[in-house]
Amino acid sequence: MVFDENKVIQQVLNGDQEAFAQLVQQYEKPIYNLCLRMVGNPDDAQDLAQEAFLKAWRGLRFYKFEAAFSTWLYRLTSNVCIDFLRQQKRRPTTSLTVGDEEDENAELEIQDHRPLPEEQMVQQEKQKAVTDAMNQLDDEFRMLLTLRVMEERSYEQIAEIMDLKVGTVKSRISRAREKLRRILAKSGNNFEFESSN
Amino acid sequence: MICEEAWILINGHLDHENTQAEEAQLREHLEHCTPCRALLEAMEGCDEALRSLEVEPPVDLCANVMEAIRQEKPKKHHSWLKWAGAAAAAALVMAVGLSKMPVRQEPETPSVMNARAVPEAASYAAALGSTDISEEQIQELADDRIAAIVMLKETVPELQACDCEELPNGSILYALRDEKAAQTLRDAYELNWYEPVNDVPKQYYALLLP
Repeated sequence: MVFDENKVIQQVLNGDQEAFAQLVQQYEKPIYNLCLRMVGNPDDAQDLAQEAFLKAWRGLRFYKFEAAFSTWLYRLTSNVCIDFLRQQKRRPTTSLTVGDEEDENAELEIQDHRPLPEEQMVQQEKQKAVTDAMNQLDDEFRMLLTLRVMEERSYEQIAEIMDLKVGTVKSRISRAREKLRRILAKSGNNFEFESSN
Repeated sequence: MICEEAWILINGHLDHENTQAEEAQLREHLEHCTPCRALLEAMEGCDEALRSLEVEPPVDLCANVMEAIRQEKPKKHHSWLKWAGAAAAAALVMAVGLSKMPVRQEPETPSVMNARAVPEAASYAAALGSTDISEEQIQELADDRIAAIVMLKETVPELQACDCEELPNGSILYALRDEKAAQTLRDAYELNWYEPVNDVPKQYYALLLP
């Protein structure tokens, strides 16, 4: 069944509070992942994703249907993340991937001690390398790459979300990719493998 | 085609933004340019590695959001506030830099923050701080209440002891003790300031945007 987003939004605006859960379910994965990439750890990402949805709930009456709801929500989430990063005044330093956390999470420690299949280990190393490299990018580049590569937003949508011109988005994504590649190459990860085309 | 031109098309290729003609040009270049082929492979590898970072959200995220929503206090409605429509005759705005707003946090959990901690990302972050409330609407509020209003995007510790009310748009209006309290807040956080156009303020508020 096709998810009729505008219908659900209208339901919420008409007072059906519980209908908002459908919007959360529809967007929780991309929103959580955006928060995770931006702030660098799962706990903060969960808090920020929740805050973003709450702000969306509170501000839904101001949503204008002519813009895509996803763009509005991403923009709002981006704002929440940037505010958080301002507040923290720090770069994310912890790993973003499950299985290589450096905290004292008992379950993950147990997992770390188990021998992993080689392929899985290689995959985890790749993820750690790219996570570390992403964390070395500035906030704007990180957001651009997340929105474009992970969330597959169009240049136009990204321009709207980040209030940039489309041409600027295009050139900065290019620069962000190049910077990420250089950081990875510097750390010995050239990633010259598995061409997708 | 020179390599610098190919790099632009490599990004277009990765983002599926190239035209057919551009794709053909790129293919032709790549056929005889080993460094660009390597660059494309490296870029594809980076993108693929980035996509592999995607994770499932916490299982309780939706439930937590909905629980928080259920606990939100019901909105009060104020007859005075007609947000939409008529703008005030003249917006007397003593604005002092939107980009130097203090950081945002929900009013339920105030904490100490450094309002002057302006981030490096401010170039676009300021624009992201859209509030969906126009200056005219805030001016109208100042006129209606015959009040001076400082506009906040984040809560600040000074507001913790203030009486507050929630406006229909989700903003929180904090009643400040007096003019001195308002001025102190304004100076400390470099806030926008609104006054009634034709009156001397009788009250002082801090408006925390939703």
